Amino acid sequence: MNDKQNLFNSLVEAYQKPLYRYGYWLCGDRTIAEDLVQETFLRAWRALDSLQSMGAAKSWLITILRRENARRFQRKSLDYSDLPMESLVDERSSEGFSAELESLRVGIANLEEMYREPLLMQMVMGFTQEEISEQMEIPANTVATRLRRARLQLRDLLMDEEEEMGGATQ
Amino acid sequence: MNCMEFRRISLEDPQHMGDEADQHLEQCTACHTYYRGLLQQERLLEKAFAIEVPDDLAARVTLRQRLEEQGDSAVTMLPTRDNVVAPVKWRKWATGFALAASIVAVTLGINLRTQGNPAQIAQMLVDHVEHEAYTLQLQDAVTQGRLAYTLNNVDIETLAHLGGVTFAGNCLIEGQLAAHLVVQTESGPVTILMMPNSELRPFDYSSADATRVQTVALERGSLALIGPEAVDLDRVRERVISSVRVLRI
Repeated sequence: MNDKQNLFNSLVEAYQKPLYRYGYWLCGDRTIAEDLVQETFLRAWRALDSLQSMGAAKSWLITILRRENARRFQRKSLDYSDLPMESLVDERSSEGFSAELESLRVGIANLEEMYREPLLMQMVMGFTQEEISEQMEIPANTVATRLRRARLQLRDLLMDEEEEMGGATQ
Repeated sequence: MNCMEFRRISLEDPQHMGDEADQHLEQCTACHTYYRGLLQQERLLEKAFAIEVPDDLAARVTLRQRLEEQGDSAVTMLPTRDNVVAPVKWRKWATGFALAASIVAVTLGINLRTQGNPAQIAQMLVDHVEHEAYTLQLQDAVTQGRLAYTLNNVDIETLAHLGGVTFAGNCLIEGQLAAHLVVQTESGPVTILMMPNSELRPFDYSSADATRVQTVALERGSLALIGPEAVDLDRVRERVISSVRVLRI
């Protein structure tokens, strides 16, 4: 196997899962998420010679995936309100399902894109706030604000759930 | 720092708040309680984001790339969103290929690891550490997000804060994806290789150059610790094992 193929395989091994999860939370559909990942890696393969170092790979792949996602909207003239939120997650049959987790997943899906994406970058991709700022081309303090608001909204959601549960048991 | 500032900073990145915030946390009971709740939320969020990934995704990606490389006309028949009604024959073949590829990979991986005596396996692990020796020099702690991300890639969940981690990254060990961590201890850095896809025979080996290598079985796969003999590896091992859980997904 040549060096280029080895490098590509390492990238696939290392990043397929976070990219799939990232893609999924962007589009809310497993099939589209898989397409996004496949397209991303295919484009990465074609341009692999331009990758400066392994350290830059994660940001590079996310840039490709985000562009690919944007292209999808251009192609189909969709707007972001067309996201199939209701079908976002159905993990009831999977291991470790809990109602709290399910509510949180719906809550994440219902977050506005501007709040969900920085949180995704931080928690799924492990980006720092500076890296998010570069990736999204917004100032670092805007990133900080959006991260705060995202967490606060999800916290409110969890507290509401807790109150409801408390009320139900009384 | 006052409570309002603390809460603002903690909501931006609860795992990496800086010294001032840490000091405030130690002194303020109200913020301590607040922070505990926030960490609980973070753990739940990590789980919520970690949706299941198709087993054969990597095989499909690689297959598609290879077909393109060969200029195979079958590329146009791949199951993309715009082409979801791809011929059943192709799908069956692709699934078969993906499964076969996974089985070969797993079989090869396990064979490689069960062959050889502890000295040989220990040398392979030490070579890996030496190949990435720069990771031992890092001093700044990685964020919990970075750690969770690294572990998530190999289906490991963080259960508790694992302090002192100065490097976290994914690497390939004999063709299998692993999580490579470095923790700093008073007696030197310890490399932790978490390999849920590899079965290593458990052993405790000290090499001639005073490097100790320990391998233990996880719920799935193996864990290896490599560090100077002066380090209490047992303590590090216990800390790691109690802080993570290997998922069976």
